[in-house]
Amino acid sequence: MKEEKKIITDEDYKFVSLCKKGDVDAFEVLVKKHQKKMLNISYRMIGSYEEACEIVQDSFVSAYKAIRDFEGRAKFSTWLYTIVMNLSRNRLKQLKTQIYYEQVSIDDPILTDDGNIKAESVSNEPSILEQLEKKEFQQKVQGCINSLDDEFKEVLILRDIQGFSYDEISEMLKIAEGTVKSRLFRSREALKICLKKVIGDL
Amino acid sequence: MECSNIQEKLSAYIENIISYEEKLLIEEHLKSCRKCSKSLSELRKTVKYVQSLEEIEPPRWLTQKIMARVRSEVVATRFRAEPKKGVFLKLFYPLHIKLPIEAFAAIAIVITSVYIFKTIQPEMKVVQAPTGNENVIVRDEVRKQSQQLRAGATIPKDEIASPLARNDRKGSSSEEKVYAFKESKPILVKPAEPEMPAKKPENIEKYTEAPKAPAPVVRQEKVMPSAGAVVKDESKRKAISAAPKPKELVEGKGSAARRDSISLTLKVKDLETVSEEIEKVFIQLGGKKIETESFDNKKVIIIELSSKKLKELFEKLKLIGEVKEGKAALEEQEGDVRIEIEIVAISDKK
Repeated sequence: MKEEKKIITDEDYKFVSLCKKGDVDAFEVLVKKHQKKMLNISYRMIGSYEEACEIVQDSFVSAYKAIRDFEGRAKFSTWLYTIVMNLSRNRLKQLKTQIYYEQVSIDDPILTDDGNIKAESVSNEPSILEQLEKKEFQQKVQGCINSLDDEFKEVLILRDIQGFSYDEISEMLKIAEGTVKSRLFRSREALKICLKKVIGDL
Repeated sequence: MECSNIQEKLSAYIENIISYEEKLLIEEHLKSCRKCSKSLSELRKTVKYVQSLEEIEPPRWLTQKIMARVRSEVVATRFRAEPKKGVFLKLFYPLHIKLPIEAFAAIAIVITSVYIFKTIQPEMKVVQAPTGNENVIVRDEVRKQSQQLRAGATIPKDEIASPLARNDRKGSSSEEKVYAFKESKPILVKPAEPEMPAKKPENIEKYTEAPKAPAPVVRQEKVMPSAGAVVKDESKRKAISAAPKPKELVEGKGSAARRDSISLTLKVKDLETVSEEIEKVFIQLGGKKIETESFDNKKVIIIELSSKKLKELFEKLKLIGEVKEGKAALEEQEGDVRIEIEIVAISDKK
């Protein structure tokens, strides 16, 4: 995954320089290439599909506005994901103050974009349809991710979901690599506890 | 190694980002510690679950929407950059300092209003002046006229026939009357009015232009029966020239002479030399001699002179002899004025 990225980044640079000259169509290529990952990052951060779509739009618009300031020291994708991370984080803070997030207890119903998932007891009834079961399970995992603190959530998403290297993560989040590692450990532990309670035996 | 230490490192262990020594230590510990082994398997599952989360697909409209917003942003930045060169801005902000057009407009309005006010002011004076005093003035004049008319009517014919005798007996008093009458005349007289005697009071309209004007007409008509239109006019004319003239001639001259004319009486010792001097004076001033009437002990010179030169003329006449004139009449004249100078020899009187 990481190796693949490097090749893409090289391609990106061509389009980025075209964008700097005012080529809007070149920017469209970049949008098409990165929007999915952007959306996934944002969705995992916020937990709402609609909100994530808004964040991705805002991110690309501000990226275009600032593309002349992009010096190319980091990869364009890294720069782009930093933007979406920052916007998602800000939006999350906004949402929290807006609806006064109740203290998320693991036993409480967990907010997902599809609705509430009940924190279930250990004795989980087997689902009839595997597809439904899978979807439900994924929603539970997302619910647990949502319950994490922002700083732990970030590293987990970037590392375990998006597969970025520690180097890239420390670049994006502007934190030391050691910090990334320790945060990742804590967030995995927290998620493990959460999943144990939600799903039952791991 | 403590379990807590091992568990801390498990996260790194599953990613294989720890040193070989540490890796061996952990693996050694895991063999003997069930708790840590359980933790490891749980951690692996957790990471697996998280990694197994399916990627979500972006909506189809996302690219379009993003690009639409980006393009509108491009337009917006272009629009923001353009006005610097705009003709519109140059027109409204010609100065480097941004002085809004409203300020200019306000100044322009003030200047214009002051100018308009100044130009209108004189007209307002003309309109206002008559409203207060006109009736009083008119009544005064009518009264004077009627007095004059009675005087003219009662003046014996022999006095007109023999001016000498009149001058001897009551020349000064009659002159006073003449003066009094003449003074009021220029105000009332309307220029180029052929039917003067009957319509005389209408002249007031020229100054008042108000509906109150007809009132004096009635008064004038009330006066008239006592004196008679013809008598009135004739006597007036007599008073001016103190000469017996045919009625037609008097009327013709009268209408001409009344037009904006100023009368003044000059009392001198030597009639002939003085009249020559006066002639010189108004030729100097650019006046025009119209008519001269000579009598035994007096001379009437009618001249036309620019009103601007009037004061000069009066000053010069004062040097020659004793001048009697209406100051009010002097000030109200405009353009070329007709002046009747009556020169009277005072040597006879004394």
